[in-house]
Amino acid sequence: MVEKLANRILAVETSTDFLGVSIVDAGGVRFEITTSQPRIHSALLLPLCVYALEMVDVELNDIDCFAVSTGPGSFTGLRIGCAAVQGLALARNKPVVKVPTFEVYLRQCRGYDNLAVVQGRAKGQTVCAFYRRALLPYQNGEGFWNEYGFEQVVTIGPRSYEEFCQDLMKSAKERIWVTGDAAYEFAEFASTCLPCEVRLVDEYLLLPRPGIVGLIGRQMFAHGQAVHPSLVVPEYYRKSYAEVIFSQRQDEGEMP
Amino acid sequence: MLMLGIDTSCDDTSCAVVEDGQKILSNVVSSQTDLHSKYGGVVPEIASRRHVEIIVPVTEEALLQAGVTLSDIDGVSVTHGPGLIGALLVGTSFAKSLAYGLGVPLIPVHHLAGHIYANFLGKDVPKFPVLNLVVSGGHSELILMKSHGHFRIVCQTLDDAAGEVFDKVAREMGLPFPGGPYLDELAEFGDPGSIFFPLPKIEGFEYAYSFSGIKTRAILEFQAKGESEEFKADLAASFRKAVVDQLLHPVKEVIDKTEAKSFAISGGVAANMLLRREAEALCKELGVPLYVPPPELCTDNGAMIAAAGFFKYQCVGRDMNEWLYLSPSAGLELESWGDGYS
Repeated sequence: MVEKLANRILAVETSTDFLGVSIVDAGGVRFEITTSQPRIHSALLLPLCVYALEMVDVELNDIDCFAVSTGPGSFTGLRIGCAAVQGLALARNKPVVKVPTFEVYLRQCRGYDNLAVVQGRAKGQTVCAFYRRALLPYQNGEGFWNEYGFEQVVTIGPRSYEEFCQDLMKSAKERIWVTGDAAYEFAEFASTCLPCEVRLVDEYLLLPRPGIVGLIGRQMFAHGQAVHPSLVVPEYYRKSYAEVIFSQRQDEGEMP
Repeated sequence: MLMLGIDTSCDDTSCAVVEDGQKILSNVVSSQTDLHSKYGGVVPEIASRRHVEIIVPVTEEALLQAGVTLSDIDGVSVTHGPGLIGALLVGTSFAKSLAYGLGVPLIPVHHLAGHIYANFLGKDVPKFPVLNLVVSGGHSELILMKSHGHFRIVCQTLDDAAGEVFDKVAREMGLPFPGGPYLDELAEFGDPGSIFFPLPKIEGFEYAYSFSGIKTRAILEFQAKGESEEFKADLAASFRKAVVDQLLHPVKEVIDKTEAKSFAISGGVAANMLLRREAEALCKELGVPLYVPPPELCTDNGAMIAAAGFFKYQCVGRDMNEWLYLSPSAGLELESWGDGYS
């Protein structure tokens, strides 16, 4: 049976330099707009939302739920998306679904096997994970992204490229596909040190698509996973640099 | 007009409801001091993370305390600079969406204008022209206002802000974070004449402040002979006097020249006890009234932003379509509002 999801979602994607907005309803992705100009998310996000609503000819009040990509990704980008959605949802008294950004990658890259997602790069660390096409599809259990047929082999976490390659060494025997906003850089690095073939996914799928955020959002909303705007905060997966340095110094006994 | 005022320029998340730019219905400030104290200063990334977690609860609390709902709100004012950019981005993104969602205007407010308007909350407000001394962790400026929204910077710091040097010297002396108020208390027990701090001589400006030299001198003095509690108190007292003397040094001349009818102090350092005493004495001598906000309006808060936003809205009017594209700026310059000054 095909599940019919009738709700209308306004989705926001700001986890990378790629800013995007979409509107999804019973007819699927009704509108999707993206721009890849970095550092102007805060100026353009709301105008793009207004534009999207105009193009689909719906009022803000006709939106049943807001969806936002919650990370991992650019800290500042994620906060801009979350804060903007908090404001819209609070003003219209509507709920929000928090869409994990790596789930967006998995859904849009479901045609690939052996998928490495590499997102963000700061202070020598990236947030990454590795997925393999699941041998036992649609089995419920921890660490399985069964919806898209992927099994999580390397869990989402902050690593250097070197560390991630070491993790991949154990599990990636055949060709691996790379996606995420650090994909180019990582693929270049990995191809010099991994014994297997390293390739980028289709260029269109290298960054999270706002339409996919909306589709996942519509599904999550239908499954009762929407929350109050006060609970909409990013999932960073990395501590702030100050915290990292502080705990290092504490370990070394330099500080009380 | 019910104005919501939001400030996330530094490490406090604040939201207030103010009626007609004058009457505070609520003023909620969520301080992050406990998060930053172990680092000895505000960590921008930690501040930004906290803002996005707490901004909705703080807004809801402000509405609850004011006894109003969002549908009663007629406008949203928000600080769009200067400040920590990551922190400002949270407040402005949230405020823009909120205003759009409510179908009300958004009024971007300069943080300094906010501090100045803390003195306009209430019945007894300064008469124009008013000379404002804005002193906080990020600012030390003398700003003359001929009328609402007409700002002229008369004097500003060439290096550190007054509040910043209080905090940094206090940190060096091992006082708790944020150190300014602790240094102020300690200074009450010391002899302000014990250590000589020169008044900086600055060429090329009619008026200017400089605090980094006396900060360094204070730190060196402490490092050289700072062990005893008595010396610490003397150093605190002498250093505090040096900062306050410098802050007030140009005031008499400027008031004489500009015929300002009132003198107003705002910002976190406005709570400094010596600054208040010295300013009171000076104003008595000059025969102009002194305005200083109550302590809760000296530090960053949403009520002052709402007040400034209300008066800015009166000056600039309803043609504010650009705010949809508003983006905050860490180094925002203070500009006067529109042309039609009241």
